[in-house]
Amino acid sequence: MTRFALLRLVQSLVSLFAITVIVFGLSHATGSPIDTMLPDDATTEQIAALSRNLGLDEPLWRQYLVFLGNALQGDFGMSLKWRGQSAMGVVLDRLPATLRLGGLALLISIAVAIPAGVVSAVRRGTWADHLVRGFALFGQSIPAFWLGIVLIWIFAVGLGWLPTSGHGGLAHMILPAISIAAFQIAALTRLTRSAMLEVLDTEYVKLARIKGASETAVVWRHAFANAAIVPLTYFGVLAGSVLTGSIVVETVFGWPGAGWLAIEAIRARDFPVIQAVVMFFALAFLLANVLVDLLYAWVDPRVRHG
Amino acid sequence: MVLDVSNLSVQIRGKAGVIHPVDDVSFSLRPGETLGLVGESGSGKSMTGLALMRLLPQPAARITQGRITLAGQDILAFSDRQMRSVRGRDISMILQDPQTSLNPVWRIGAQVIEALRLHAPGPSTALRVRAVELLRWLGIPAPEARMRAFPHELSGGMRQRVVGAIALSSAPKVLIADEPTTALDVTIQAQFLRLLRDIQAETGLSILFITHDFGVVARLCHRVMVMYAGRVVETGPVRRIFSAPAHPYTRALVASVPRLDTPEGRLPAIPGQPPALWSLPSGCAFAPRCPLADARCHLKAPPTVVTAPGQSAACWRPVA
Repeated sequence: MTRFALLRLVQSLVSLFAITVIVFGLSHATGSPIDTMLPDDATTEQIAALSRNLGLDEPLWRQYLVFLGNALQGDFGMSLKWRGQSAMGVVLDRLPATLRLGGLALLISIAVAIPAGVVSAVRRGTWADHLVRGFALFGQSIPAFWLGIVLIWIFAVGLGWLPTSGHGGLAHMILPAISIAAFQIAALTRLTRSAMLEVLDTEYVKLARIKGASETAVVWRHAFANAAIVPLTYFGVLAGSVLTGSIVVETVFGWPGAGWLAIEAIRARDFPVIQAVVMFFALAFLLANVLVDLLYAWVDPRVRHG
Repeated sequence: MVLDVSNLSVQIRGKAGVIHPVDDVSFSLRPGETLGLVGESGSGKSMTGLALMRLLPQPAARITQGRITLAGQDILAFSDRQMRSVRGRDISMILQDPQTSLNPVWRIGAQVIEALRLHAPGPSTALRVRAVELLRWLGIPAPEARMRAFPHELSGGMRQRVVGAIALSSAPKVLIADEPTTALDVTIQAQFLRLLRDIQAETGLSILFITHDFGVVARLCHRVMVMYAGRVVETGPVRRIFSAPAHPYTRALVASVPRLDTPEGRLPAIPGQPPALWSLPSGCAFAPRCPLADARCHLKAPPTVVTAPGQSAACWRPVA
């Protein structure tokens, strides 16, 4: 078990290293930040001076090593857009808002998708099943930004129940969280349903019924305990997608989180902030997946012993 | 009679239409008796077993007619809740594959204890003690240690003993054993059968033993019932079934069993295939493969006639 955990940790570190290379490479492929920092009529000397000043005239590999060394210490440099603030500070400032929103979206996804998937499988072929599958198809087909706009139109503009956008309490979070969650609910519901269908057909579920166990015990304690490994596997993807999904949805709802920050930073070619945001997202994604692997072993004894 | 089944029919609605995997089946089981239920794959053996538990695959299959009287109770009239209290306590079942019969994410102990708790709730410590006793009774060595094991840590034979412990945990009157030894090694098979026989001698358990293995039938069963295409074609004492089978199908089955006391050579096989249940012939279902069949056999389903004391066959031309 400890070896298994260690191995996963090392694998994650390798992935993280690869991500730093990609982040560094991509952000440099988008063009020089100098263009947006100086007025259009800047002279060649002024451009060269600023390049030297920011270290942009060094060879790429040296720039990368400097970047890596600093990144390891949590230093992504000073923001180019938000003058006077460190990139790390800017991101840390916005991260809690994104985590709150993402957390709520995650909670909604699980709370809706697991029961819906289970019921759909248990009542296969009935109207409840058809309803759930219809919604799942719908949820997977509509883009989050479109759903966000429609939700604003109905619940904020039309009915006036919830605020249209901005940062605030739970009322401000409901619509964006639903927008992020919709796709995940659909995907997770379908996964749960198919996993349950497979398990409900097994001999050990039959044996549970032979014992005289109640239908609730058969479905949840016997069948779902086994089927859970499938939605659990998806949880790693889910946690990542909820964060990346926040980029679009935060922009639609004007939610001042890390996703919104990422868009603003990209517009301004604010490399240090872009790099910090992406590294944070990558880290969150990796952590979620390591967590999933550990949960795996906890859920399924065969993984633990294998 | 501890179990009495009369005119039981099961219907399945599928894409190919409506079929009757169990068609007008009647039999009874005395206390302490083992009845062998024999037939080819698809003859309706397992469906009969599941129908007795009222655990037919839902919603495709349902019981369309008949009566099942278990220890004097008409269980087809029971509600789902009543039926749950009967399952495991009055009638229980062992499934074919011990590999897949136990829940892979539950410890052995938890699975046995659940079965005990369902029909006789009690404090956890007492249930634990009883579970250990039960495992020991089923011949599982070091039962205390096994309680904490997961199914994948046990051998096939041990797993089937655990399944047996679960099935017998509440001292049922009737045990349906659906090919419980098919997936086991031959030596393990023999051990398991001996164990079943010992338990039966000790408790007076009645067993409906579903199998296609005549060797097992000879070793374990008192009476035999042969099914073909959903119908009972012959019932009789095990000795008569082997020495004087009345139905041509039974005779063909018995003749195709390899024996040590006859010279080597090709085993006689039954020509043709069992009929598809969605296109049964109008007369006797076995007629197309039967060497004795005449015009009447192809036209009209045969009645069940008594051919000897305790022996009956559904045949127009039984061999008396």
